[in-house]
Amino acid sequence: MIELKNIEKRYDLGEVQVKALEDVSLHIERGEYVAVMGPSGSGKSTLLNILGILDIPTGGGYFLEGYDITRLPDREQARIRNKHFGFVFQSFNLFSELSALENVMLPMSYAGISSSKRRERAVQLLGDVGLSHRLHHLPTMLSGGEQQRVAIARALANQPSLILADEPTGNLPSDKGEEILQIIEDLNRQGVTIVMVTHNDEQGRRAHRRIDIMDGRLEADERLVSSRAAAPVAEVERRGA
Amino acid sequence: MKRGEDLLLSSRSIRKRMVESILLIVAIALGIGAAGAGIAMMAGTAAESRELLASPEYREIVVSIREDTAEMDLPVAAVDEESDLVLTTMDLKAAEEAPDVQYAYVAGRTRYHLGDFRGFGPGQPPQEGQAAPDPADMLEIEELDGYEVSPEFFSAWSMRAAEGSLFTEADMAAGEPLLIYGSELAADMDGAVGEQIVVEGQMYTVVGVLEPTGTDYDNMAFSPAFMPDLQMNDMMAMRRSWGTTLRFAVSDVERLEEAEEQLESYFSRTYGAGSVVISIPRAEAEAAKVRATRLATVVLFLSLAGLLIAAVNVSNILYSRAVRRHRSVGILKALGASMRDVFRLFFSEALLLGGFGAVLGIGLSVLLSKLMESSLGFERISAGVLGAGILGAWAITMALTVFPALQAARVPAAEAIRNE
Repeated sequence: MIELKNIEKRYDLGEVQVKALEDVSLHIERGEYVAVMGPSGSGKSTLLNILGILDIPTGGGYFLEGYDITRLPDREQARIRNKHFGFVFQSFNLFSELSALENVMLPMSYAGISSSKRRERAVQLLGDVGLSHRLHHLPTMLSGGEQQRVAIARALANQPSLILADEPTGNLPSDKGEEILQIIEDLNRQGVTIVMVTHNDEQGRRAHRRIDIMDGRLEADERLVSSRAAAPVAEVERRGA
Repeated sequence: MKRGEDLLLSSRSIRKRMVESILLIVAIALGIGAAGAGIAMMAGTAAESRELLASPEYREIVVSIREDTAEMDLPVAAVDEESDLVLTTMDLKAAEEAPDVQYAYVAGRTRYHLGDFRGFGPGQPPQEGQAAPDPADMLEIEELDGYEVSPEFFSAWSMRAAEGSLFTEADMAAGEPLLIYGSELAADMDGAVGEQIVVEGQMYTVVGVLEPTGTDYDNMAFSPAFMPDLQMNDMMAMRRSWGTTLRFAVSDVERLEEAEEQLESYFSRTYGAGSVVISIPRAEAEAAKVRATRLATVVLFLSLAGLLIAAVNVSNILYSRAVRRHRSVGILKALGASMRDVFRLFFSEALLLGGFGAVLGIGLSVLLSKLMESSLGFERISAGVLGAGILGAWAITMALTVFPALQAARVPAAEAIRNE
């Protein structure tokens, strides 16, 4: 599904050049549940942004279903983000001026779905995450856990094949975090590919594959348990080990 | 993204930042209002000048025995007490020496004192041997403003009789005391053709009422100009002639000065050099036009500067708003918004603010233009010109809002999400 080849990401800060990612190569199959781990500033969020085409690598190639998508025009990249990817952020990133329902409907408007279908699907998605009674609430009227569930419903609006989650439980108490994790794992069981950045070792162990990033380099890539599409063998590939 | 969602997000964003949005709307309204008013003033001044110079009196050369200092068209001040010259209709033959003169007429500003003085008036004692009148028999003394004119006056000003008739040369020769009312004066006097009124002890017959002209003449009365063969003493002749002017209308305004020289030659030869004052009202009108146009240009410049300052400020505020919403841009892009979608969203918001501002700005422009019409005496300012001015001002403001929308659209998504 996704193949990264020797990805590099450098930032020019005047005279200084910072390497956020260096020589990262990855292959992610459909249906995988991947945890990306590493200390702060290691480059895991940059990797997630590149995977979500929110950022463009300064070197290497990013192939989605065999196509180099870094060379696509902005409009096409936007279409891919809209149709194929769903984003879940640590700080929820809901639009505070829109209700829960309107937030979930928003990505569907970019997909050209009719207003009535958008509403119908948004109501269903919010029902799926247990928020049928909160449709018209503004984000500020929802708890953190509820806001994250709205964000997950929004990420699922266009039935994406890949969910990119950046520390989705980072701002939640552990019980609410567990609820969110359950939802994410349910999605994976339904065949949705998950790539989740986390600091939490336990959450990392619950994924089927764990990728460790250190100083912008891929430090480890471990298959922990079988996933729907990945090889059913827990194998360890330690680079440099 | 559909236009509906753009408007939904834009309107919510405006509501969320209400105070800032109101300031933006007011700034846009003031910019448009200022530009609209400036353009209205320019257009009004231009139209006024055009109309003024198209007036028959600005194709005329005025000959009088007094300096023309109080008004452009009428010599009323600086009476030459030493002059014993009396200008009459006979002097119109000066036109024969100026081939470019199309027509000539006499117009003498006068006041008609209604009522029977019989040689005395209020505060003036009766003369010897004259009985004091019974105050109950005195008519109410009233003044009518007007002109003593020769018949060409009416054709020069394209005046027609709505009732009765105008004077003829024969009427003038007969020396009959006749009177014609302007339309509004006729209504005020409740006067009718054939009615007789007493003016300074003499019975005048109202022979006509003019059609409305939309000028001050509507409130005036007109009687036949002074004829030289009328029997009257020197003092009376002098008094009546003080306000008399001879008007020589030239077909081509470019020939005014040449005709002036020809007329001057006639009057110098006939009455002596410097005996009459010859003036060209058009020269003063043109100078006044230049002054008014310069003033209007300064006002237009200031109003356009105001528009530009307002538009730049609107652009700046929208830019800072876009910067503050970088994170939102990043989220929108993550949800599938392209650069074009983001641009359209931010521009929709500017359009919405611009729309509210334009409504207020139109109101302000119309109000100011009405104020100008009433206070500066402009004719009705063209709605087309005002509309084009408002549209232009709005377009300039909106053009400057493209920049912040473009900036927002160009924000890299990852950077936008990382910020804040």
